[in-house]
Amino acid sequence: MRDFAGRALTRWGFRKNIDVLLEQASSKHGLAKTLTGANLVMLGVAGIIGGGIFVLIGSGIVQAGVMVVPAFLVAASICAVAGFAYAELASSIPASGSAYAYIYTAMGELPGWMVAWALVLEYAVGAVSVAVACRNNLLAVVTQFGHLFNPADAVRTPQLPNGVQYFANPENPFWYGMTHSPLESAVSTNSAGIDVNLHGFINLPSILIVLIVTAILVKGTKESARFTAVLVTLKVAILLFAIGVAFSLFNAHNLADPLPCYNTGTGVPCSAAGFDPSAPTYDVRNFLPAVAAVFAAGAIMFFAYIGFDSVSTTAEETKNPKKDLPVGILGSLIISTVLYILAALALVGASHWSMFVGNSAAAQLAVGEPFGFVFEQNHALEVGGFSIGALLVRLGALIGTTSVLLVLILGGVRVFFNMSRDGLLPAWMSRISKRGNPSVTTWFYGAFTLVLAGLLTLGAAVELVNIGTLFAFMMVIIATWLFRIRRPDVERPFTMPMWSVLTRKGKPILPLFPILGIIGTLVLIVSLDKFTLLASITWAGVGLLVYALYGVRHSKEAAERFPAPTTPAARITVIGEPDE
Amino acid sequence: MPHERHHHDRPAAILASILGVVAILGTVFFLPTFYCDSPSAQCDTAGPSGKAVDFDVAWAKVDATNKAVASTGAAANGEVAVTGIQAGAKVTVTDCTDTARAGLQQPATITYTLSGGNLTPLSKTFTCADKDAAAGEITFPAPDVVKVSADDVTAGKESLANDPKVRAGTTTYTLKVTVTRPAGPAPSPIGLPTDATINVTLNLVGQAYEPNLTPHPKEATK
Repeated sequence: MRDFAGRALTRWGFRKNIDVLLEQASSKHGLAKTLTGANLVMLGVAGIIGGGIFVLIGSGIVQAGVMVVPAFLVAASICAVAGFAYAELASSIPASGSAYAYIYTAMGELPGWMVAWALVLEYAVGAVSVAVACRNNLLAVVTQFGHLFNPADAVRTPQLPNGVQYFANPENPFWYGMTHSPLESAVSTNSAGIDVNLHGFINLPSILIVLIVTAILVKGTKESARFTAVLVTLKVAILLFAIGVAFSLFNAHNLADPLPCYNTGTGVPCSAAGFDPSAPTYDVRNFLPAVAAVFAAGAIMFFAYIGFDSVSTTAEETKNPKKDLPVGILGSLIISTVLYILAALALVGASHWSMFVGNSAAAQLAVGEPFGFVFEQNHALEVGGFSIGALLVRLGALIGTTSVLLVLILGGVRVFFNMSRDGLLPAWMSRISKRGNPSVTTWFYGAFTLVLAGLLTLGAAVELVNIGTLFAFMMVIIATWLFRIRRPDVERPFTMPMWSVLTRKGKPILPLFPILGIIGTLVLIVSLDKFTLLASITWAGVGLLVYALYGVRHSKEAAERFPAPTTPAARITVIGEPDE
Repeated sequence: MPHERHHHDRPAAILASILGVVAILGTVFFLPTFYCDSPSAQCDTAGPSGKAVDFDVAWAKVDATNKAVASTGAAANGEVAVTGIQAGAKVTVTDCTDTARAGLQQPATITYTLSGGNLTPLSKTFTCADKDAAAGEITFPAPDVVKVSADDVTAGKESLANDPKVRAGTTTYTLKVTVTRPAGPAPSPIGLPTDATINVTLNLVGQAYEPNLTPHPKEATK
């Protein structure tokens, strides 16, 4: 029995030969090498800054008030550890499989498979949910213009934070049906005061957006990078403009009492008249609650940073991966952190945190659309009742989510491509087109995303994106540490700080930096809800079955270690050849 | 140490299958139980962890069950008490019959005043000929509460009823009706009835706000 388990463990631990990996990556028959460091920074920013930043800061302010600014630093520092680990491994193992390739090389086949399986879920669920978010942002933009022509098409209801139930006109249910999946429904009140149930039929906007993005990816990685650069330039410009306008409304008094204390229902601050000490109160003015609040807000903000890891999936398409990948990963993280902190500072300076708390319509608008609220409150960027500010923010969110969608499909395809090239998935997934990209897999992945986004809602499954990302982050940090111990000889153009308190023969035995990163990601993992934790174990179980039924038998790494016995005919041929 | 591939593949596949099946069977049956724990799940009740659900609140104005009728040929009052989240009161004219003859008698004018709570009283004057335009209401704005966190819909409604911003309580709305008939344009000819009569019925209905709670939909935050 012990021998049985021992053989299984040995087999699971087959590590990919780094030399083979590097040879694959540099092969002329591989993916076309078209990307530069600047392209990678753009891709990183495209993956990180989505529509969420226009929303998340509001939730952070409710938790931590003005201290939402350091909360961004907390989130950034956890991401930075993972970012350093990705940068080191990407510079030393420049293979396009990202975390999967690193962990396969440093820890073995099964750990690599499990991370890849988690990444498949992260990218797939992420792409579907972002495609739906894209739809919402698109409808929000169209709805705003619709007001100019036909106010009835944008029925104001309190069902959404910003008070607009997009395309939910009870007098004309056709548009709701064509813009929502069959699992979506809404109640809207018609002019006679009667509640009308609206049902979705097909989510056409998401289908169209996914189709366009997939077509661009199939056209080529360089073309995709150009398209991404345009999107990133636009969304960063919009974000900077929104930050600039918010800073112009800056009032130092808003920073006076930085830590929130208020009645949770009414939102009345503890220092204001009308505060009821007997009512439920949220108070984080003391040191420990303040620290807890900053970390809680940091946990919310953390998810605004994920996406930089997808840069490393393009390693094989990068001209100088050893130099450019660390630049792309860390550069995009730094740019995003600066933008996020500026955005948070501008918002808490333009509007006191007390405007964001409580259950009033105004507070919910502030949380749902913080920039839009600040603009509306100050009548900034308003022309004849038309809010240019709100339109800009919605356009920024639309562009942001489109770029994230592109990066998620790009990353997901690269993970499939690498698994297939290693024999762990069917061979057609690693077929390369004349344009030098995996176009068949891209269409397959795009079709998968398109069908799910068009016909389903993910509900609670959306949270699986977070656990997939966190699991990959944790494993990459561990892999970086192990790879230093197992293969200290490999060239590392970029190295992660280790802060090792115990070193043996130059190998880090007790490195504080990665250990802190592992603890940080573990804390975030266990803070996720029970459904997400359980569902991720179910998904891992499915992954183990697929690995057992397909991956184990088709693995190319195993095939190289155990070459198939030659046939008698082949032997005769070999014998017949002259010795060299 | 065996050096055939299947000596390694077989135990790896069998053990991975066993672990996979255990992982699936050990978790899949609990997924429905914990579904509502997820912040993205749209559930009417909190999950097993007891974490409150965020509900969006939409306010619907509903008629209170009790109403008053002021049916009069002269003057009358009506009164209705509404217990709940105050929305106001409305008056409709259900019947109005005036026997005044054109050219002989002036039509009667009915004036009503609707008041209650701290709302500005509403006064309207009409004749039976324009009774359809006589309806009126005094209204409290819907409570400025669009979100509530609670374990379930019932708890959410209870929480809203106790919220100081929703004006829950009892308010009495009063309807005062007076009827006057201006003097006729000419003396009544001999042989014709001199007194015209009027019968008017006004309905006074108190209104309350009812909260409709729907789980708050969460959008992707990326």
